[in-house]
Amino acid sequence: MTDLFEITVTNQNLRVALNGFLKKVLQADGIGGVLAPMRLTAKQRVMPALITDVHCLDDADLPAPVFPINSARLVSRLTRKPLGAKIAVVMRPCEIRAFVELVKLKQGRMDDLVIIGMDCLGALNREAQAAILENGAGEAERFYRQSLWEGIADEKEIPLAEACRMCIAPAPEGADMALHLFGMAPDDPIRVQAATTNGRELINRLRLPITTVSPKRQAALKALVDRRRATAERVSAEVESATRTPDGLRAYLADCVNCYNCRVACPVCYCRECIFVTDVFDHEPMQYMEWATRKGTLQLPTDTLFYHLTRMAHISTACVGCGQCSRACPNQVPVAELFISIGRRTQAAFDYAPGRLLDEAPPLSIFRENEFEEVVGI
Amino acid sequence: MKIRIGVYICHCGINIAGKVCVEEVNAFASHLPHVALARDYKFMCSDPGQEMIEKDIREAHLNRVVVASCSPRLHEKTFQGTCQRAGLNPYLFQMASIREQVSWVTTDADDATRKAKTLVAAAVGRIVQHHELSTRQVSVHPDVLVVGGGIAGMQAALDIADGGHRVYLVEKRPTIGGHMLQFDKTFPTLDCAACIGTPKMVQVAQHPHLELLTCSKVVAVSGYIGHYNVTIEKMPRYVQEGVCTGCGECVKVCPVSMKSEWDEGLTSRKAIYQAFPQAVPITYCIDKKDRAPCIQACPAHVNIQGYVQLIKQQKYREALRLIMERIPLPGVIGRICPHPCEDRCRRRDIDAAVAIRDLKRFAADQVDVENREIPPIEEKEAKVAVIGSGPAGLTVAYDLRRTGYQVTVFEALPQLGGMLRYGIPDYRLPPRVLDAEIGHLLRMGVETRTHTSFGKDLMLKDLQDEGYAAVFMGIGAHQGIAAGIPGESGAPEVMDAVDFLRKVNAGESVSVGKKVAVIGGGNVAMDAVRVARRLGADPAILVYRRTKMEMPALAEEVDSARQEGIDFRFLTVPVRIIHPHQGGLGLECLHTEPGLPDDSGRRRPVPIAGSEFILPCDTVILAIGQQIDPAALDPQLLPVLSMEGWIQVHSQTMQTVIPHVFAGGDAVTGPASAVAAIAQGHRAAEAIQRYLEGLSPAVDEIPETQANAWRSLTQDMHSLPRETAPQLDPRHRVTGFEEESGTFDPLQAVRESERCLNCGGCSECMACVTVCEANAIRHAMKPEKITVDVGSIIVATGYDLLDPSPMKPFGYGRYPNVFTSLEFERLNNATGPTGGRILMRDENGLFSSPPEAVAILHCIGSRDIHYHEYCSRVCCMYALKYGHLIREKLGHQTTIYDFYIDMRCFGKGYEEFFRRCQEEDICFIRGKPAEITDTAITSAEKGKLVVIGEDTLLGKPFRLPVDMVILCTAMEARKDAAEVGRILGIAQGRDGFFLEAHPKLGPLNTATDGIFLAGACQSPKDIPDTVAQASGAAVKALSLATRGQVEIPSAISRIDPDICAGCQTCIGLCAYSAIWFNERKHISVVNEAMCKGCGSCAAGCPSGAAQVSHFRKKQLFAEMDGLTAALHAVGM
Amino acid sequence: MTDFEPTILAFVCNWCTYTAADLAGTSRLGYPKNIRLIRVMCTGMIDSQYIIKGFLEGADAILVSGCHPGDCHYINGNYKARRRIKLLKEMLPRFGFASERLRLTWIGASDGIAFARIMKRLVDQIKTLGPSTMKTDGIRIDLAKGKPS
Repeated sequence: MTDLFEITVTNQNLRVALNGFLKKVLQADGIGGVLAPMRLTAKQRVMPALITDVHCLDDADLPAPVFPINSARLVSRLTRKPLGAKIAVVMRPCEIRAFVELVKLKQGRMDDLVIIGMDCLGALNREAQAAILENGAGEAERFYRQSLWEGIADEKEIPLAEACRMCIAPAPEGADMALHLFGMAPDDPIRVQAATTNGRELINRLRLPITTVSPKRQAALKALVDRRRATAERVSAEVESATRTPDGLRAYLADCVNCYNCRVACPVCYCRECIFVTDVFDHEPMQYMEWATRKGTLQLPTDTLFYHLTRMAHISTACVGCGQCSRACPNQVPVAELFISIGRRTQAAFDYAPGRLLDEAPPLSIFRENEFEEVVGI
Repeated sequence: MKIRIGVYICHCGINIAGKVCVEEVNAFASHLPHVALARDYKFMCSDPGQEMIEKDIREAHLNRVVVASCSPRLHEKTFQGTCQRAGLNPYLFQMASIREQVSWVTTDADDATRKAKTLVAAAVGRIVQHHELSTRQVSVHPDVLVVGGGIAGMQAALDIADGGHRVYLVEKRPTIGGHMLQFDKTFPTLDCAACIGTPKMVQVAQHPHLELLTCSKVVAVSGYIGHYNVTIEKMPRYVQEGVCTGCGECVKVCPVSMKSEWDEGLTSRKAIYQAFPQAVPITYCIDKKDRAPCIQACPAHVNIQGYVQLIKQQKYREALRLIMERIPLPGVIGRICPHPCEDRCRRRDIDAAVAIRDLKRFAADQVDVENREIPPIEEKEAKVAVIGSGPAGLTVAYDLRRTGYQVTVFEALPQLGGMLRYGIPDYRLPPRVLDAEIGHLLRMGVETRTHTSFGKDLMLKDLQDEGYAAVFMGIGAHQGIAAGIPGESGAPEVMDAVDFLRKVNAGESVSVGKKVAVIGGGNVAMDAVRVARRLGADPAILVYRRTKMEMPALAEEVDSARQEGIDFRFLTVPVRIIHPHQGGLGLECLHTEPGLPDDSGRRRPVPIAGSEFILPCDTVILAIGQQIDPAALDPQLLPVLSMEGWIQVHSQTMQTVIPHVFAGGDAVTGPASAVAAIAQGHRAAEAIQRYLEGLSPAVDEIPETQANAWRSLTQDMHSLPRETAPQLDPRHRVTGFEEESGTFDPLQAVRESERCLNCGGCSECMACVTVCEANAIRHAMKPEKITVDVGSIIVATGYDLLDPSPMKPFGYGRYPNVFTSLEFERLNNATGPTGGRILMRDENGLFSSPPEAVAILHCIGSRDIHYHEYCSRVCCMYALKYGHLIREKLGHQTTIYDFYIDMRCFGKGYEEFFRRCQEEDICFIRGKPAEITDTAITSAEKGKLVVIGEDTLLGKPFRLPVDMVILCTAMEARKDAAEVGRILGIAQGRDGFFLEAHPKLGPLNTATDGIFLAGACQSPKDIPDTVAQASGAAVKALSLATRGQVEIPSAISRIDPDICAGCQTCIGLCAYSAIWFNERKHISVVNEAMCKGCGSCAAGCPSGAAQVSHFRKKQLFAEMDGLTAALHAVGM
Repeated sequence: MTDFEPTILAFVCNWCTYTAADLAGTSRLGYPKNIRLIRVMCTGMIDSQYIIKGFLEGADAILVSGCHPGDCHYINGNYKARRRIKLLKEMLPRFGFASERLRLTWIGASDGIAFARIMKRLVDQIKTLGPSTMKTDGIRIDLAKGKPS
């Protein structure tokens, strides 16, 4: 019994095809709504929206190569407590991974969800993103033509966000339903896979024609991943050499003004209140004076480096590399690149892959009697 | 309020002042932020010192106090008290240790002074952030739980009960008493263990405040000091306490013998037993393991072990009754069953499976059918129609009739029996057997209508009109499947196996040619070819496309066929049947070779191109497979069929989509065994009953827990040959249809049934139930859970004795006369296997003659880095006791060697006892023997055990021949200590014993408040120490209970509800389960009574929502900041 | 550099290592002046922030020391500490920060001698390693070279 079904694409319009699919999903009984990126009349922006009216789905825009917010945070909001209805949510692979991390941390529940994942070609960087949005939906097609159908290898030509260019997990692992785009030609149908029983239940109700595995997808995926791994290696190497020393690190973060946007945008920074804004760091005025006198100079705001190092200690093992922190930084500090390169180490150290498995406990939430003996002793 | 800190620097005589310039520190401190005043004084801890602080708090309005002196571990409490007396909250005090950490460890005076300054500054920095904390009280539940019913548990329980508090005493074994009651005499006083132990047991049983729970174990503990909620699982005894009179009649009839734990396996006991005569409670107990594998394997779940045991006792009628609970046709099934049970028989691990099927047949054959009893039936109104009289149908009829329903069986063919009659040849199943057993069913009042074929003469509609409330479809699969090869249809020489067999069994004359080829590899093919042989076919050929291994047919069938000269053609696939115009046929075949495995896991046969050849034959019989005869179906039922053409049913209830129609047997499963059909019949019958009673046919089955913890196989299970029933000579066999195999003679049957290993322990033969006059036995008892609330818990779970078998050199398990200490205790005990006579085992393993020389070896597994480093503390003394007792019982002709490393006779009267034994000419040799061997090198060593080692006093090696060796094996922590520790939340030390709170000052406490330790579960102990500790633990529990209040520390964790994100990481990290989750608010909450303030949660909480009072982040940062500021000011 | 006197913070648990330190004191076992103990109830409560902050505030080395495995007064706090140290030892050296500056040891309550010995060894090692460059504020940046002077 196959688990692959197809969505026909007419005159190469992915967006329309996918919207058609989403309509079927929304109309399936038991589905109360669909969360998907949607075109807003305001400035043609694309933002996630919880859609319950089928007609509104005409404005959904899955192919738009923009990434205004990591929807994992939104989905966690929606699922902290029972939602009263089952909804289908369209998420990028990194959003799924982030959400899985949040579920582990009891910040959301899978119960009311059908997660629809999509092969992810990445999103444009902040500047390009604005441009493409202004030029309307058609632009998205161009993006897909270039990066999918014409298979333009050098992603510099397509101004992808750095984090996306470093992303080595662009396939929607952990989704209930996976939309397969990699390797497809302009007129090929989109394949949709029922990846879990949850997904299978829904998909059976959609009455989609069944199909077979795409002959080209695996190869295309591999090529993409290889390319991105190369980029990831290169960028990480650059970052590492730039932050080789404490001063290097200070220089790297020199523009930080402690606005904490990075942690607000970060999907896995789940604290309700960051410790840096709690009373622990709320000092008496004379305290600042005392520090300044002692040290000669007291950089203000204080604790920028402390903040970033702490954040690394807290969430580098959970970093899914979505790059929202870099997007959010008002001073263009390449936070994501730094955290991705650190994450590679800390995650490897605990043999942990964020977002991989629900029952894989976060490294600092567990311990064993016999482990890491190498760190003990003098 | 403005912070005013007072700093006090102590000279501690010259201890501090001798190295640290206290005045300088004083001056430095006085300029630190928030410091109102600083003083130094000779002895801060002295009364004047303390009064100075009190005075300042009152008069100089200090609201923080720092004392720089010795270690807080010494005087923190002292100064906190000082502050309290002056009305200052003790947590607004901080101490700097400038003696232990400065003056005593630093050489240079200036260095010391600078370091002192920084430490004072750190303390001052920290205390700015201190808050008042209040001390808290919780109430204590008056009841107490004691876990373990050994001497420790009994003592503790009695002490508490005497104190007037209710005690629950939980013991996992069926009797209390523990190891002590297994002993004979106790050192050094030599009073008998039973004499001093049993009175305590009786007290326990009779004490009004004491509730004894045997066969029970603690499975969950929640709560905290003062309020523990304990879940106890009571394992079924299968004998009702209070009803059982302990008369022991049941033991006489119980067929199952098992090793006696109480006698350390030296004797055996029955499956229903009492640990020892003085057991408390006296109630007997049945030892049930998991359901025996044969019973699990049997589709009909016949109680095989049970009837095998009954046959062993020659209770044939009872055996048959047991079989017939599940098998309506025992004689039939006893002949033709493919016996999946035997495939799982554990006897195979020793020699060969028990001949279960033959025993079933034997039982059936012993009771002639005519006077098989008919159970009393209370009639019910409802009518049920059973379509088809095969095994499935007959089972449904049998079950429903037994419960009183009005059952009519409809059969298309002239006689009843379905495939049993028309499929299975007479030489396997003589018709008389079938007739007789079906006859028995009819006598039960089952109506039948033969010659009535469903789908033609009878439709569902008609049945409804006739008032049948439910219908069971057991129509079987009576139509052969075509092979789909050219030339198979239309020719009389080509027939279908099912038709062929039906005709032959019906007695019609069927003629086959000389050369007969049967195509197929299943049991039907086997029947067909063997029948053909009997009808004169020669050669009778069997053509099968795979190899012998992959044949679905029963191995024994294939073997009989071979004996009868059947010509097997494996790896051969027929491609067409050629009809020459005159003469016989030709079967064109291809050779095949095994290819890749298919879905069935068997290798798919791949035809070899060009390997065609023609097999000349006169008759071809196709036995490819079977299907439902569509003619035998009401069209209304067609939608019920699956793609493959079988009736689709609910797997548990056998109910079809038409609610009142149920189905089972081949018609559902496709061709399968009769016993499988019977199994489905039972399921259908149950469901039909529920349906008729208006209940939902489906019951949520509670799956039996099958950990497959069966009775363990042991060395002494010797190989016994499997009995074989008489077989007809093959040459004679092929001449007719006489039954091919006979039945056991009674002796064989008994011998065979004795081979059963009783994997399941109790065989549920019910013999005990029949003899129990008090009617106390309840085989259906289930485990029950009870919960109790207590204020504190005493753990007295005792110890295990180390098993010396892995220590090969000592030959335990290899030489029958090497014993462990506990075995010797039993051997020596009046209630033991030898009635207290010290005897050694002869070659048959029987205790016969007394030993002439005995060796006692100390420290087996104790004081040995390969096993346990610790000393077991009791071995020296009981070794002496053994020496004394042997001398006492066997007199002076017996030589006694006592091999010790050191004599540890530390207790009251112990050394005196040692001296006394020395005077009883026991030969003490210092040195642990290296080996025990039975290979003699001198004539004196012949037939003896030789102890080899070195006398470390003389420095000489020795070889000493003895008859008996006693190994003083180590006491070790219980195997399940880790599990118990987890449940109770107490830790184990490296030696595996439970860890006390403090080795000196808290030997009875654990890290968990309100849980205390008593006896050998904490460390090896002798009886006096154990009893003393038990009473001690009892006092701890009593003092809690009588005070009714307990104070709990204040420096514990708190979780800020406004910051907590509810990630529950802290809950996972808390070693005391002291944090719970508030679903409504979605935040984690600390249970203050359980929290110990370790701060795992705090370090695990990224937002700092969880923090430990008095060790808050702000306080630690402040301490570090004060320190660095000072370092900056004064330098390192 | 022999005149370099490192600052070493030691976060020690109340039940084992702090007790061992007291024992070292009462047995008059001298050890270098560079150690500053910070007493916590259990190594399990030591937040990675304390360590990071410690280094940023100029500690040349930080020692975390608790009970031996299996002896933790709070059953398993020391195991949790070990994981946090592991994490930091993966993270900090990435910024050219010598892993030897962050240490974890188990010193039992009765190991007064071991305590003194380990403190001495640690100080010697850090002396040869030289001062840490993690220290943040108060460093004058030489604009010409852009390096700490």
